[in-house]
Amino acid sequence: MTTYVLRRLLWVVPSLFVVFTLTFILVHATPGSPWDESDKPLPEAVKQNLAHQYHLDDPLPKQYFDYLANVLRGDFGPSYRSVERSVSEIIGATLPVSAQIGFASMLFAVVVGVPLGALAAVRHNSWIDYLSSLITVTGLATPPFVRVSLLIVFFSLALGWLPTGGWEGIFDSRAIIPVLAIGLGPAAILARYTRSSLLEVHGQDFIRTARAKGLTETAVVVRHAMKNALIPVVTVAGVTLANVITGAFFVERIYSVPGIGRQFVDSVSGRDYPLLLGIVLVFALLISLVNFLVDLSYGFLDPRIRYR
Amino acid sequence: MRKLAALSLLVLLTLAACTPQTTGSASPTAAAGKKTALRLPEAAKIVNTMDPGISSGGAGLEQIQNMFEALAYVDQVTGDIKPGQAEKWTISPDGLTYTFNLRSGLKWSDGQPLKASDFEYAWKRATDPTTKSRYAQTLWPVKGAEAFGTGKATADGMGVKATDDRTLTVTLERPAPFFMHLVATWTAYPVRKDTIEKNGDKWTLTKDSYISNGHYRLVEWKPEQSMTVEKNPNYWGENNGPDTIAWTLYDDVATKSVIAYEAGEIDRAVLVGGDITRAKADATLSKEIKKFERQGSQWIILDTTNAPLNNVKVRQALSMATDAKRINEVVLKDAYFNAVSIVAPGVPGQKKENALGFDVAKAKQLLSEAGFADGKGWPANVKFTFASGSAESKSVAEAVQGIWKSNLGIDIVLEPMEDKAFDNWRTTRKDQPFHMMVSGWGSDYEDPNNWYNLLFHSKADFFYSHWKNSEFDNLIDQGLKENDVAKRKAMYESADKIINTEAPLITYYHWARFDLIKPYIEGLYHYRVLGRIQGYLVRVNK
Amino acid sequence: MTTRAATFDAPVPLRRPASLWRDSWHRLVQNRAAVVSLAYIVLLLLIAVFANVVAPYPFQQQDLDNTDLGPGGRHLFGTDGLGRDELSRLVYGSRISLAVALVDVLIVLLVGVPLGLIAGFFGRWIDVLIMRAVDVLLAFPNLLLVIVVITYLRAVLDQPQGPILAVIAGLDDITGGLLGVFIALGLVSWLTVARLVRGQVLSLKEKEFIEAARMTGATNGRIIFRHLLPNTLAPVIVAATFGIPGAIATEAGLSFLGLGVRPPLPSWGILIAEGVRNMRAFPHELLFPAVILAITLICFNFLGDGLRDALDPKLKVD
Repeated sequence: MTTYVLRRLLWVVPSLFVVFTLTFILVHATPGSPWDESDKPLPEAVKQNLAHQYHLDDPLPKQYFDYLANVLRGDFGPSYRSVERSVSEIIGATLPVSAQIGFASMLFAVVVGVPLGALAAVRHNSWIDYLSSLITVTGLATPPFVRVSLLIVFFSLALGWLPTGGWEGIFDSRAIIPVLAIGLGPAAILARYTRSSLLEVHGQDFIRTARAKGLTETAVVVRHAMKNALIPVVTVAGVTLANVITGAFFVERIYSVPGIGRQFVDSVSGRDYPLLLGIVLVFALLISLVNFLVDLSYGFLDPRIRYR
Repeated sequence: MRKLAALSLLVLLTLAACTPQTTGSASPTAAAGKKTALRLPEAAKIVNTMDPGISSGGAGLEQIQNMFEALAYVDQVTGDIKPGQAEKWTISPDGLTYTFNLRSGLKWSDGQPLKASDFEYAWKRATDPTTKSRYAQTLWPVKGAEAFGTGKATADGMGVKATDDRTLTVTLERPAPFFMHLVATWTAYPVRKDTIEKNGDKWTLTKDSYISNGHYRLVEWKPEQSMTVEKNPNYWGENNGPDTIAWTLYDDVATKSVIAYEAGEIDRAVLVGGDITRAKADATLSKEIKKFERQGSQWIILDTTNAPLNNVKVRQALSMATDAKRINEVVLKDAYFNAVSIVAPGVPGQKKENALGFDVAKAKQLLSEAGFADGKGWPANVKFTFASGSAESKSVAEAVQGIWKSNLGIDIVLEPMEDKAFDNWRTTRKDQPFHMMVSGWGSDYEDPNNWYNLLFHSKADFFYSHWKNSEFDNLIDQGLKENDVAKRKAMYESADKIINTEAPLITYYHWARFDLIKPYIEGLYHYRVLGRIQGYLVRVNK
Repeated sequence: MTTRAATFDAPVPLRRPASLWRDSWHRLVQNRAAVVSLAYIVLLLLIAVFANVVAPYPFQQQDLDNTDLGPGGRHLFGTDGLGRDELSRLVYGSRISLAVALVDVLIVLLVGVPLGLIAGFFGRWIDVLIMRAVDVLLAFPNLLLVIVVITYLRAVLDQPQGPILAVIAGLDDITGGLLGVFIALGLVSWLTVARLVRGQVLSLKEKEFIEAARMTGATNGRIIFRHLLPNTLAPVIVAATFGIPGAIATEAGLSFLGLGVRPPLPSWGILIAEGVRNMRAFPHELLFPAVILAITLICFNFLGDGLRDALDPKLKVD
């Protein structure tokens, strides 16, 4: 087991490496430089100077290895779009915000979605099942930018209960709309997967055994069915968590949350290479770790799964 | 008896004179103890930085301009150049030397004295290539600046010198009649050497390190969230504006600012699209709408050397078939001002009679004369390229596609491009063909030189329409040098007629600012050239 | 709601059906929700194919005298900011959205499922390779790749030289510019399913019936197809149906960036995105596309549930 853990952790490094290299190649193949200003084009000489000051005129291999060397020393470089904050500072300021919202959203999703899905499975094909289908699909059918806009119009303007934007920490009322807007999707997803995998599991042998032993319905569901059913749920939760942290872009944008999703998309459209590379590395690390934890959990959820 | 009456009258009059006014600026005694705050929206991407020497303008400029002051400034109502930190300046007869005399007792926001050497330091720093200014070329008309900026000379060769604490002498490469406008630009703001050297890139981040010299000074900046400033007690002049100004930053200013405005969180909102219709129909909001003229034009740029647009009749036909009035009033919900001619109204030389106007019958006839009667024979792949980041450009592109189809029977292909890809593509159009693209221009200062010469001279060809007309070039070359105001205007008017007739561009609106402003706010005004809100002119009557 | 609701309380006999497909179909047909959904989807497909017959107006026809009209009168669902008929745009938009949904489902089934099966079954370095590829792609800025590919492709496809480019150009044209969207989907759609299927296989692999099959001499292929695959169907179906809203959102986002559908072609994603912007002034512009999308997804969902129930080898048969 420990060898497995060590091996998995080691594999993170080449993953990071591959992501970095691919992204590096890609950014330098993309048309458009960081300095093109569409309304007041810069004189060529100024653009060249900027490129020179940021070492963009060095040969590509040199830029590549220089960047790697810096990263190993913990220096992610300057951001092209922000003079005041370096890449590490931007990531350091925005990642915690996104992480807090991400975890809160996933918590909401688990607390709301899993029981909802379980209920739907237990009352399979009843009106509760169909109603929960309706709710979950509608929650999912509205893209995130629609969801957050509707929430703002409803809760901030119509009811006046919540502010229209900003961020003051996860325990402030300003966190409610973002968490709801981001969490409703995963809640719906988890509900569906819980339901479907519980239905899968209910016909299997060990359930019959549990019932034969005279356990109550709840005990059957919670202690036996759930654990096995959770494998797909946990898998999806892992992917969704990663997506939530990286992809809450729309919500961050519309609700003015200083998160990392915005930075990611802005760095692509602004060709802010160092920031993009920095964020990509952070994401790759995060995702590798999350998926690793998910894989580890398989061993707990289904003792028959062994890792060689 | 009469004495008593006279005395009473005198007392009454005195009393009346001492009573604080209920309108206009509240007198200091009445306002004492109650702090006024102005709350504004701003675009979240504070471009680049809050460093005046590095910033390329755009978002962030309004804040910088409220916290700093240059040697001179542009009056927001009249457009005149007025003395700022300099109380007067003299220009040598040959136009090459400017001597600025700073006011006495000037201070920085932290109380330190401000000297002419601060200006010298700031100008040299902005031009220095290692500073990485995004707007370095502003000061290149100064002697030796361009050479220094491109790494061919040192700072010592730059023609700006503080001859004593209150005198700054500037030498130019060649006479530049618009130089005072550059002096009023943010790149020329003074900056404090010690805080920059101590804090490096981070000097703009906190109130203790961001030392400025304008009407306001920094209180707090939360990047991408908000910025707050307060009155600068060390500013030399009067400031009867609000005690604090707070900007809330939004990614999508147009939609979010309206929502925040309606929720009572900010005092001004930017109106665009459907919100305009809604505001006009709303009982409260319709009274709070304010539309300001801005001197700018938005065009469809045509490549005049690429068939079928190389035929002037085709271009005229397209121009005359473009229902610009409907595009603005219907498609864009009257967010702007209807197109009049190529150059924006108010620029000397512009004459609305020179414009081609909207005439479908004439357009059809011209198209037919060009060989494409009813659109027959029109080439298949005529592309209309635009940056897809702008929802407005997309609406206009689709509208124009439909309008030309129904008015002329021709088909064009819409080609949206990702924003930076578009920027890049546009830059390469300098010597590459295209068909049509969208672009615009707003005055930096109200002078024909900032339009005809800078944009449309065949050597400048700012928008790459590849248009050359020697008569036009001659007229504006002469106009540039002409000192007699009337003669100059006549020259530019003749040039204006030529460019409108030749139609290398098609105007579809003139710029505007469309705001919602709370009724208790007075004096919030966007000047038509580079209009940005000057906080100290605003009154918050709450 | 159905006649033989399989609830948690009722005992479930284990009896292998006579013929998997015939019994599955039987069960499906008895699931009313699934049948209604199937009918809706077939209807939608027909509408998409025969859009030019069904739609009352051409989708690009503008009417600047009648912009932003509410539903009613000559325009059942109202008009948009250029006076175009919303119903017609919805009808034509179904083509794009269904094409996107189809491609997404295909990628999920044809790429995600096999990769997940192989990774879970064979384990070791194959598993490592595939799963690390998943990790990499999850972190990768796919948007950037799409920007690069599409920008270059569009520049090159202007005058396509050679058969390959001509085919690609043709594809891009036929789909109304969806090539970029398909590339983006190709990179992203299969990731979740692959992990899901692999997870299932890891747990199924150790079960007795697999051992039994092995002992009777079944080849790896047979084990994978006859035994593992049917048991991974449940999450696959959910993933396939749930991939669709994501795919449509991806298409909307990319089209907005100029990397997707060429204007003035409509798609449901674009209609929704434009509708959100005018949400407060002209709510009907958001309402109709959002509701239609929701109904479509609900139907896909019920159909998917019905399929899952129908194909479940453990449910009893009447």
